[in-house]
Amino acid sequence: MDVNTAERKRIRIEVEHIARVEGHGNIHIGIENGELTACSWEVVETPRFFEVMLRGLSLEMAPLLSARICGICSISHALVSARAAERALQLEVPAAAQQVRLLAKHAETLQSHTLHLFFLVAPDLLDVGSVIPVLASHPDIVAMATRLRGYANRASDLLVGRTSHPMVIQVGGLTQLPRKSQLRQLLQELEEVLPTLWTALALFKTLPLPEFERETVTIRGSAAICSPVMACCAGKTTTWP
Amino acid sequence: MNYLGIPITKPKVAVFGFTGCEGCQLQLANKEETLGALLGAIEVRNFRLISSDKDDDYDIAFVEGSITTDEEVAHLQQIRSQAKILVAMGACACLGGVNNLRSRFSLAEAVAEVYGDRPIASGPVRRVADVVTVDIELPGCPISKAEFEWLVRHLMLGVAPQFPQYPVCVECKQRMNACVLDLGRLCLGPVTRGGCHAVCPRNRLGCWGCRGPAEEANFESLVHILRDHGFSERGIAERASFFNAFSGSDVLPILGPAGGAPLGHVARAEVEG
Repeated sequence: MDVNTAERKRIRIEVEHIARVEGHGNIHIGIENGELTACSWEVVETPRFFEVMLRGLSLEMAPLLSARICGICSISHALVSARAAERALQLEVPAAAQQVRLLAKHAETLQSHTLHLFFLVAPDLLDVGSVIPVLASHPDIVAMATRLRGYANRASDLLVGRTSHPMVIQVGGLTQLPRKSQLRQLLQELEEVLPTLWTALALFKTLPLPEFERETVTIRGSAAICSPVMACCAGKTTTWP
Repeated sequence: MNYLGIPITKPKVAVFGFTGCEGCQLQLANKEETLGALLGAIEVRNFRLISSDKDDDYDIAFVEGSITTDEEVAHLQQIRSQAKILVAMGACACLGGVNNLRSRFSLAEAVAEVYGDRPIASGPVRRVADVVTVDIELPGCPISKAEFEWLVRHLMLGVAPQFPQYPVCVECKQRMNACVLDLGRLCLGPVTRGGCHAVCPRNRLGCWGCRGPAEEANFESLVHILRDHGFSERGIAERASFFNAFSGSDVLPILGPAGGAPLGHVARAEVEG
């Protein structure tokens, strides 16, 4: 950060390569005589050209390749890619596969949000540079993070193969379904891990958040059970093998 | 710290991401049961994804992603001059990875398709080893955290890691998976380096070759098997080109430049040129 103190009326703030964010960016801010003259966010991520990579390849490659857009939210990228192909071909996806996909989406959300909250945001709220000093100062917080993330990752492993670059999601459905006993085990584990989620929520309520207010529009999907990346599976029943 | 009388150093580690998905870096934050132990065993000096503390005094650099811009080349060279050991991490860094699929098109065509008239800084897709000397290649898409920890243990003890050279089929048979070829799925397991515990065939997906070619891989035999199972030349070429793992094979068909060029082996330089 470079604040020009020689001339008080002109202030420039340059943040090169912001840390602890998914993706790459710089911030440029300029102030002259109390007036904001520059305020920009520059995306310095190198281009990948996925639109071009996908051109001319077989449809079955699309979800696997699209997953590689982002290793943190691969499941979403694979799901929307498969959905796009299914809608184009007007393919009906079996209800069981839909339900597993929805569960996998939730597992990814838990993984991604706990990464964000505990590893990327919490260090700022605790005034340290990363989660590493938190390990010594607040081991309970890191234990909470690893418990929740561990559950989310195990769920993704069971449902779609793994968190980053899942193998099971394919156009038309899934390569395989989890067994009923495995899903029961996952449910039991969820019940064990849920109290940790409430503890985490209570914890973040106590951490000092910077004062920042702005007009916000919040949106969500209309059906409580369905995510926008899914074909709606509400009301469909499944017989498990 | 001592292990069996051998002094163990706490390596000063840095992690860098170039053109890629950050998935390999994410794996380092996973495997929750050993996260504390790992962070206690190494000293993280520079890891932008998870830390705003930054110190350019490090010994081991883990580098994720392909190298596609001049800035990346300069940054990588600077990392090389600092690091005693440079590890290329994941398929993009080791092989070019999926990024190389865009090399079927000219850069001008790719920029026009995605960004229109906007000026975009990019260049050919390069492996880390195309730009600087690489000491160790940690394969996979993504890497596995267990294998990363295995490598860190070797580095702490100063022992050269010996990665498996046998094909994926060995581990697939050990896990008693049904052969995915018999399930009608194309699989590169017979020619791809193992060490992944056949995690893709285990999930009923064939192998896509993310760890690179196995030692003395019998490509001819694989092509015969795949033809016998009814897979097309085009399908084999698409699969073999996915991670750019087999551009050194004269036998496996590889996707040529797009626009009607005949299938067949196309040398890496030709694709990029």
